[in-house]
Amino acid sequence: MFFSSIFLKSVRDLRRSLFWWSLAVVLYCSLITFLYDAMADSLVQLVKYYPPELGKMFGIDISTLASPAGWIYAEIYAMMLPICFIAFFVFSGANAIANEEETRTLEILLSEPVSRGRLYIEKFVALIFNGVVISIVTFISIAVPSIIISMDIGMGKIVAATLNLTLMATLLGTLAFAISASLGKRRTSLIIPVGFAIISYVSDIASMFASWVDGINRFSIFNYYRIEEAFENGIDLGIVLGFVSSITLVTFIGYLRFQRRDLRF
Amino acid sequence: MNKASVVELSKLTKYYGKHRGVIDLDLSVSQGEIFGYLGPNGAGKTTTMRMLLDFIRPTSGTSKIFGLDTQENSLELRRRIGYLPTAPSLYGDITGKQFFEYCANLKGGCDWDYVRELIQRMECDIDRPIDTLSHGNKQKLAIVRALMHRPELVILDEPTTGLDPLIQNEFESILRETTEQGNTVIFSSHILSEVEELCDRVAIIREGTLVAVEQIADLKAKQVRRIEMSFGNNIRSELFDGIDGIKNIIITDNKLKCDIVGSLDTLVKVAATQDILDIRTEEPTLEDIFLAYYEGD
Repeated sequence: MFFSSIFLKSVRDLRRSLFWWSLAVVLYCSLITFLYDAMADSLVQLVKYYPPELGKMFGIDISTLASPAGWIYAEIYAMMLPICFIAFFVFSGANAIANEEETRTLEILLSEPVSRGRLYIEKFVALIFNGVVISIVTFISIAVPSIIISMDIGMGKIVAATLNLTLMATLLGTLAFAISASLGKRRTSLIIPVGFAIISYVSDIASMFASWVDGINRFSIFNYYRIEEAFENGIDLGIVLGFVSSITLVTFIGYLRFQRRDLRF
Repeated sequence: MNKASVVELSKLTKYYGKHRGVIDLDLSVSQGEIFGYLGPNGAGKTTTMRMLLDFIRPTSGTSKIFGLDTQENSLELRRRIGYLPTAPSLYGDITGKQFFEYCANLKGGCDWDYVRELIQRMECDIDRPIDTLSHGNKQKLAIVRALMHRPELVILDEPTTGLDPLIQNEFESILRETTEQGNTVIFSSHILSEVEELCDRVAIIREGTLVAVEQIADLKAKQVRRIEMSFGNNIRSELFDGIDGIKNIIITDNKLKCDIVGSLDTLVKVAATQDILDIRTEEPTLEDIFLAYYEGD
């Protein structure tokens, strides 16, 4: 079954990576969610003594830490899950075409009657498919424990937060994918999106302390990663459309470049 | 009747930035031929083959296969071409069987009876992960993949690397059968004796430029041939001076040693006026011819 198309073969190639990342996400998210039950009372005390400025350094609002949504946001969505998601998406995106080009299996693949466009699209769909799987796993890993411990947090809000996270990571993964297809260089495809994510994160944190960073921060991907708002208001269609448009644009640019360039074997 | 031209290159040129790939290649390969493409590493053989497959695009000039432009009709052409790259890299974590299944699906289906026949004749190990196979066994899988859909044009870049002599013979038989069915083979190799045995015509490429495209027999006829003749009487060198193509005449103890290019007719007729005891001649090998084109490099 896995050898009937490039899409299925690509899904198969990522199956181990997907399994281990999913396992890590399941363990971490469910553990943190269950921990809230044990820590709720002490969190109230902690919030009283925790310096708000220190919370800002980690991109969290400390005053909300004791609430279910604040806890999930601070411990899962603020840093750990973005790191996991970005790593998974960027590695998957960078490997998709550049790895096949660097190892020269692409020479075999493209000597078959397979257009570059078809290869690009099937590889991209495989990337998105794996992203959707890990997002669903994330949602379940938080939703199920929160139901078990009767956590007062709406399922819609977890969906909104996970969607926001998935879209942000997908955009970075798509950037890695498009660079991978445009240049055929795996290392460059990793470095550029990861560098962009780090600069974005620093810029987003800095903008909380210095207003002059606001102009630069408009280009920060973390400026549009609004988990606190997602927990308050649910899905923000403007943010969703912004991410989807950016993903489409980056995908299209990579597609055009891949169609036109010489392959490097 | 002239056979249809399968591959047509016209002024095909490729530069990688400032670096030369190939320059002004003009070449035609006919249907049913086994065509040898010779040149040392870096001469431009692989660049030419990759342009035919549309992996890289020419700087100028055109390349056509079956009368179709290789860039505009790349997808259609790849259905009709079987390609074996030099030192092919296969998917290491799957078995040969899975590899063939994947390739057959991408090709849109295959005659599995024929694939099984090729697997058996090439003695492929299809049940172990490809990573665990020797270089020669991987090469056999790559060869079967290139031939499994009965392509009308087979492009092979150094195909026999790593094959043992028995399998090499079987592979040559398969190629001959392929051309007997009207298909065409373009074949690059460093093993010149193999090219000499298999190919009808060869092209020799040097530093990106074609220096010869001819029938092997014609190439040989143009090459220097060493002659040794023994006579029963004294001979003088003046007898042989002026014969077309003769050079390096040495006469010792009634023996003539010389080199000659082209026909031996005049030399033999002049020698026949004397008391000839013995004639020895060596036909130049393709290797001699090849090296002659690269003398001075």
